Amino acid sequence: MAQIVFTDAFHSVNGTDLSAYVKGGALDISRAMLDDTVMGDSAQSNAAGIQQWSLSVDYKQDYASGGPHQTIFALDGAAAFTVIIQPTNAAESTTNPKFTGSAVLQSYNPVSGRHGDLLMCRAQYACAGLLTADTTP
Amino acid sequence: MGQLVFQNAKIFFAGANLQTDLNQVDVNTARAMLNATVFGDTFLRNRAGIAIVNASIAGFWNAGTNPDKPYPTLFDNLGSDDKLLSVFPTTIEEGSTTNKGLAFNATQSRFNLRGRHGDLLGFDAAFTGRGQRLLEVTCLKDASVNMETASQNWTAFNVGAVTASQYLYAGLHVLEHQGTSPTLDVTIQSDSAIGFPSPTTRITFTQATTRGGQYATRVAGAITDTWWRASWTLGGSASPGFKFLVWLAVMGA
Repeated sequence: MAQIVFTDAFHSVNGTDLSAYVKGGALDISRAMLDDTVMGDSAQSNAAGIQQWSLSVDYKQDYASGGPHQTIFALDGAAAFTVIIQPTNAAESTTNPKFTGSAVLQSYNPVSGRHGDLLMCRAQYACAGLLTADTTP
Repeated sequence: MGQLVFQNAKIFFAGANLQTDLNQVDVNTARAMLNATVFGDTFLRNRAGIAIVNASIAGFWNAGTNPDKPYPTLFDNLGSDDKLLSVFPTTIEEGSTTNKGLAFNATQSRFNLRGRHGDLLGFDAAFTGRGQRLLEVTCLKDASVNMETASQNWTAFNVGAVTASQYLYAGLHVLEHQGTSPTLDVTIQSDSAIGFPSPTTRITFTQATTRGGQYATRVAGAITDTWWRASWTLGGSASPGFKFLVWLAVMGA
């Protein structure tokens, strides 16, 4: 089993490649757990419900065109858009799935930091569509 | 690709220029997530709802009669509604449509003192929005450092038109003043050409006689003019003058 040193992820928001600004991120995927425990069960039983996912990304902030701020702030309150996150910036494969989903912008902090810091920002994306894992280039 | 060492943020709260005592600022915008999942969906479908805007600042305790000091300004304004908060992350660049600030009409929700024995006494304060979204603003006139002592029609900037689905927003921070009974009347004008052959006044701020902030009632588009300028008239005697900053924003609801 190959490990990955997380150095070369691909990430795009609404068609804009923001990979070069990403410091880190987290993609959380889950299913609603529906309690279908009935008489006769000696343990709780759960059935998987609908998919739920969220993506949180920390960026190195840049206010220039094509950077995080102008890309993300324009999506405040906007209709759903496509977000993509992929472990390695290379062709999709079974070992390098491209996670793609339709999302809305849940939160974004355009200014956040202490004097002397490298200015950073964080965006939180909430699901508005099914997240898929594309493994076929 | 640029990166920014966060050194030179400018923060204005109502009639105070707070930069010199602050060393941290956070501005956040979020949206209520509305569950719009329907039959046929195999996923949770969220829709963006109303905006939730807040900010926080932190720095070193400094008290005095100068309203630009954290105390008593941030203590006296605690719980007061409709105070304009404007943050410029880097330098203030008049007329820039890329190097912008962030602003919203706020209520101050918190003012804390903090520190351990031997520390520099610190403070932090927090603010929440007053019903409208976080604005990305273009400064039309930055007189926050040098006193303006003459009435003027300032430089015209091409900020763009206001479409039918957008609004014109504007804010004014009135800071220091001098003279006897000084008055400041600020308007925002637009025109179709850089020379302003036939200006139209779009925003008229309430006459200022002392420090304070004003968040103007927004104006609905469409406005086809693309050139914008600040215009101000000074009144009073004994060399009246003001330090102030005025911005506009063109955004949706």
